[in-house]
Amino acid sequence: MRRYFERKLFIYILTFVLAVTIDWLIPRFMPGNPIQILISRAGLKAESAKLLYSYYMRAFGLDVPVWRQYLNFWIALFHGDFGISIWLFPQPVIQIIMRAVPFDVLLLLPAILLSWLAGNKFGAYAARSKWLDNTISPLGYILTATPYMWLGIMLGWLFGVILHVLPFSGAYSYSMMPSFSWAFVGSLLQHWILPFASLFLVMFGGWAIGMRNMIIYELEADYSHYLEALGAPRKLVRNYAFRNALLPQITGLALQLGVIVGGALVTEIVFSYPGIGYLTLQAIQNHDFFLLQGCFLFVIIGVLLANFAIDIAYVLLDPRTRAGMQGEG
Amino acid sequence: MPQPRKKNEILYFVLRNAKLRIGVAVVFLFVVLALVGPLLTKYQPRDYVAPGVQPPSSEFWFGTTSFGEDVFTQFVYGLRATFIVGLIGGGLGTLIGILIGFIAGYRGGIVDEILNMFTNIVLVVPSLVVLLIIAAYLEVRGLLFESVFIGFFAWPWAARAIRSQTFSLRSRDFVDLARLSGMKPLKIIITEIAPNMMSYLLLVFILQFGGAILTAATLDFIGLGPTNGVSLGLMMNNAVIYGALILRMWWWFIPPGLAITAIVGGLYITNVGLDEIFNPKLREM
Amino acid sequence: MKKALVMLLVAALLAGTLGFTPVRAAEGVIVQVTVGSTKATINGKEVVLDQPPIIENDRTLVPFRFLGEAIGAQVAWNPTNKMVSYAYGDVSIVLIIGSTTAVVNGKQVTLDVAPKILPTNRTVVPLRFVTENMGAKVEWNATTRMVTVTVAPTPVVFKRSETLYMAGTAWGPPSNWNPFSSYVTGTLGLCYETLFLYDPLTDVFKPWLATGGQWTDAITYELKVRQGITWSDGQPLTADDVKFTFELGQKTALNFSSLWGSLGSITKVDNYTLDFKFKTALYQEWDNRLYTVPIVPQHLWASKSLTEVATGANQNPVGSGAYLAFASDQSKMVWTKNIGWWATTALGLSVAPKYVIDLVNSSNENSLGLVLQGQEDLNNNYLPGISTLLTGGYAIHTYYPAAPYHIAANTAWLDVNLQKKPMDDVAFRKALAYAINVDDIVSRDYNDMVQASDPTGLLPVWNKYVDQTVVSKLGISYDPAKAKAVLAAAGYKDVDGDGFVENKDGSKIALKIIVPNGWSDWMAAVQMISKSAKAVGINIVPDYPDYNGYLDARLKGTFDLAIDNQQQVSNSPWSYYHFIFYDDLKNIETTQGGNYGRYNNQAAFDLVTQLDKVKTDDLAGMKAIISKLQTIQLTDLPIIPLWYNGMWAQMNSTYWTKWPSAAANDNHYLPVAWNGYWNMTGILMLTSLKPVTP
Repeated sequence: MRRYFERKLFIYILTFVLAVTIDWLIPRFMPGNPIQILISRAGLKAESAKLLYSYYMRAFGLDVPVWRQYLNFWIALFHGDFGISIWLFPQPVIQIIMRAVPFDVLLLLPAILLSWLAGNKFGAYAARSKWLDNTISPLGYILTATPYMWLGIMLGWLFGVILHVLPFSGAYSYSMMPSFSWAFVGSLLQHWILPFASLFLVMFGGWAIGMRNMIIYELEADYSHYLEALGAPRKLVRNYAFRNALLPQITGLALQLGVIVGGALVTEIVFSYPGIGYLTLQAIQNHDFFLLQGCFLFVIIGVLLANFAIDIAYVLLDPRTRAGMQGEG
Repeated sequence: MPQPRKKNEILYFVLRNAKLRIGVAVVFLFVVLALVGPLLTKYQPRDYVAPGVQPPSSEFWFGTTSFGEDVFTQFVYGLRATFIVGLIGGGLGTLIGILIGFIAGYRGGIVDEILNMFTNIVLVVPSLVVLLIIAAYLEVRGLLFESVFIGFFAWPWAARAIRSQTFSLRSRDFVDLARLSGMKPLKIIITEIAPNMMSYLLLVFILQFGGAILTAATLDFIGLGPTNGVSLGLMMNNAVIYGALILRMWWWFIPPGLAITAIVGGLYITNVGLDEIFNPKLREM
Repeated sequence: MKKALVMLLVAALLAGTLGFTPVRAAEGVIVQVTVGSTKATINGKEVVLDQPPIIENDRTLVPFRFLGEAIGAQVAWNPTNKMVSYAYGDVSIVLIIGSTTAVVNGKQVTLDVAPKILPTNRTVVPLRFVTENMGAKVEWNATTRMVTVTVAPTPVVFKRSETLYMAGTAWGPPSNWNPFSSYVTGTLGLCYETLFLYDPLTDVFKPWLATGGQWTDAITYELKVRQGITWSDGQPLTADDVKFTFELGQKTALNFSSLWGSLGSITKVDNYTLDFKFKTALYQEWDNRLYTVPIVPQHLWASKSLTEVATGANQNPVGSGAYLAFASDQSKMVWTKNIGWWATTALGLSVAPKYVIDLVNSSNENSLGLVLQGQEDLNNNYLPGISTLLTGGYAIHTYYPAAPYHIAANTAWLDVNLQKKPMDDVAFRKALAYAINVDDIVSRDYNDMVQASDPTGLLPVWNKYVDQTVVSKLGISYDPAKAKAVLAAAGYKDVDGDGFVENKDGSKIALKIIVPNGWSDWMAAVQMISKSAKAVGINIVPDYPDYNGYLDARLKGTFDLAIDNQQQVSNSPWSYYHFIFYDDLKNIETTQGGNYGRYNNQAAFDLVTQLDKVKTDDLAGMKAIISKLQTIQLTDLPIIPLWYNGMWAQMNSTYWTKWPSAAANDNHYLPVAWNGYWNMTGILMLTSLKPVTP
């Protein structure tokens, strides 16, 4: 039990160190010079450009030895200092990212949890009845094979352009400023529906299929036949099968996190939803490598946290490890 | 566990399995289209051949883009790119997965520990974001390059699955026998373990194939795909950039997405169908 | 398990909502003042007044500016009419010193007690009247003699009929309001202003912060600063501010600092007159400064460090212009009308929209949708396909009803790298110029939304400077047969039979033409250029590095061919020639001054300097030099002019009318909100708009 978490934690810490190193490394291979872009954007010329150039080199810490830069990177990291954005100069990167994080939480947490729950439920139903199997399974296959962005485009086109009932861009109406009012929350939800639906539907398909197949495996397992032979009610057998099938689904969630992050990224891009995914694209397009570093680190931290949460959930739900815990206590 | 069985029995179930029939038919249809499609059109995908914004007609089967490029031509060339990415990316992902899975599973011990840790690390890092960053820093990107990179990041789950399969096969009698007879580990893997996992590896490859297609489409859509060329993801990207939604040019963005969905869906269904054939227990359903 | 999930979901929703910071005006505020005491509190925070509240006729009177700012209302003081105005949400209040008549939301109201100027020279206003009209609750505690004003939180909603939505300028969330840096649009123009406005369509300077200026001798420019202008914090704008601003450019590197290469000193003659003494007068350049240098308030900027001046974000900008920074979030910048704008009394001008909201560009897709549906009133993006929609029953129009639809803003030309073979050969450049089918690009790529460029590359507004005899003799236009002939005559032959010509030494020619990735119209254009070049046997392939790589290749001079359009319309063709004949060849990488093809011709460089020294009213003198420059340009072809990019402007008249247009009885202001265009009559577009009243 303890060893299990220690091992996991070790892996996560190692991953984090590696990710930070990659994060630090990659921008330094970048072609061109971001500071020139900044100066070009400022429309500066001649002497002013020269002066600002040296100023920015200092401000961005590019004028010290490489090992020192790496060390500084770690020190700054622990101070929550991710540098200054070039795209949105002179705002600190951390400030820009913190503005985006709430939107990711708002979009991703419900989409992942609800699709997982609903997918498992419907998958289990499908394994139970021929009729449901013939409707849910094909639908599930189609949904899980759909590229996130295409579903987003189709939903935006259908509900936004043709039916004209839902907005398909931004996180709330242009005519509002954030406030604690019903109008604002309503607008927030309205803009949330389509991106949420695209994410939810694709993931739902995957979970439903996974659960359905898993239950069928379990029902064909020896213990199920044995139970049935003993005259156990079919419902009981199915319940056992469901519980056993749930565990691989939890592991599956951890395995899918990377794909989900990618899906969220393109979905945010399609709907201009101002989360980290959208920010990442902006950072790439504007060659703001400080912002890109920040986004990447936040994604990694998010994924690691989610993995850890899933590990805990797994332990809590797995009867074997639960028994082990009781034994220890 | 896969068991040796008679050939004609498998063939019987292959023909009888509806999932397999549908899946293979869909994928086959698109393969044929990708192969012969370019022969059916007299244009090049990036040629300006007609007035822009033409809906589908007998002359332009899928209509034209805002600039007057033929959507059908782009579509069939894009299909080709899609299959190439699937083949190379998926193939590479499977290959690396097999390599690491076999070694870790067969060797066990410290080798397994290290490989497993490596696998877990790559597994945790969201590959698309890494691909994105790498792609963003490359000035010129090609299709082959994209495929290879996708393959490099797609293998971890395959390695994991193959490792556990190898693990269970390793302790089988016939493997023990081979080992006792002094066979080299590599030879054991190739002659004893791999053939018994052939069906499983095929399933892994099919899933890797589909995954690579989706990843490539995503990268292309973000605008980080091959710099010169056509692909289904790039078509969707262009459609969105040039306002196809608002201008209601549905013929521009529906075909590429639909094709990807159909191909990947077809592959998944094929996968399940094959699974049912290889695992007789599942056939009853 | 289920409970835990529900709680997680609720937490997600809460986190989503709580992550926002509402704007100040929405939060509500509690202000407490005590009669006879200079101590007051705003939301519990103590502040000190320079004038304690007094009681007159049982009414509490407080300093007018403190009251407005404490509540978060806009305050304005009109010294000529002795009026105090407030604007808060939808409420406007105007008080007149010494008068018991006030105007609330346009209606006359009688007061118990008149606002007055105290012997201490402080102006006080009745507290209860002002705040209750703003919807606040007022409580009086007789024992402590304390007044508590409670303003309830109100959601900010921008009324559609009072709001102008525009897009096409912002490529990221607002982050910088420094008029000397890369600022949010409107920072210069709406908030900070320039001495003059310049109208490129009529070539006229309009007095703005200055009432006029003239050269009193060959090297002295006398500037008259307008009287009666106040900054938005109530301080007067004087010659000191103007002098201070220009001198900032001497102290630190700002975009107009090069002025000090020719400027000697600035002398203050009186509070509203300045003498600019030059070492050598560069008349063309100076005229440019007159409408591009933003004047900033000395009393707020003198205390800033020089790096802060050059690169600070300058949140909460205080300017003299028609709008104030109101709020911003990730998707927009909100400007609100400055009720104390000087031009209303001085020039009778008033901006129509109460709010100007600049939306951050998310995608062309989205922009197109918003402007078609009328959610956006003005869109300054290049929107492909808009010409086909003008007749589609949408309430959209462009400056010209037919091609080219938009006014020309800058010239797109082909940068040719003269350091590389075969581009160093003028014959090859000539062949290339003959080979490019610009008309095809104009009609196919742009759907006639741009015009083909004049062979000189001079914008249509500079037509009078084009020497037609030079152009008719040397000008080059599309002629593939001639291109082939020139190539052949110069010795470029297809030796290996691959369909493309080789260098004279037999080595292959394979050139790349670069534009930034994602610049859709340019990407299509270079594909067409590549095709037409291949048609005459020149092997050119398009290449799309990202913006960074594109910029780098140009700055370092590593490119073969590139599209460039960096020179915007201005008061003089001098700026265009200064760019294409930029003479500091060694330092192009750091100065980014232009001439990326590295054309080296001292005669041309000298002519550009000469041109700068010609007075701007000496048309004949300018033309004489420009004619020589044109001869050099068209003979040597350091660049190949292609087409004019437009001032893209899609205007929707669902909510606002009287948009600029070419029609005779409409106004002819520039319909663009880009940086640097507000001061080229863009601001006058806002003063002439009319709301559509339902």
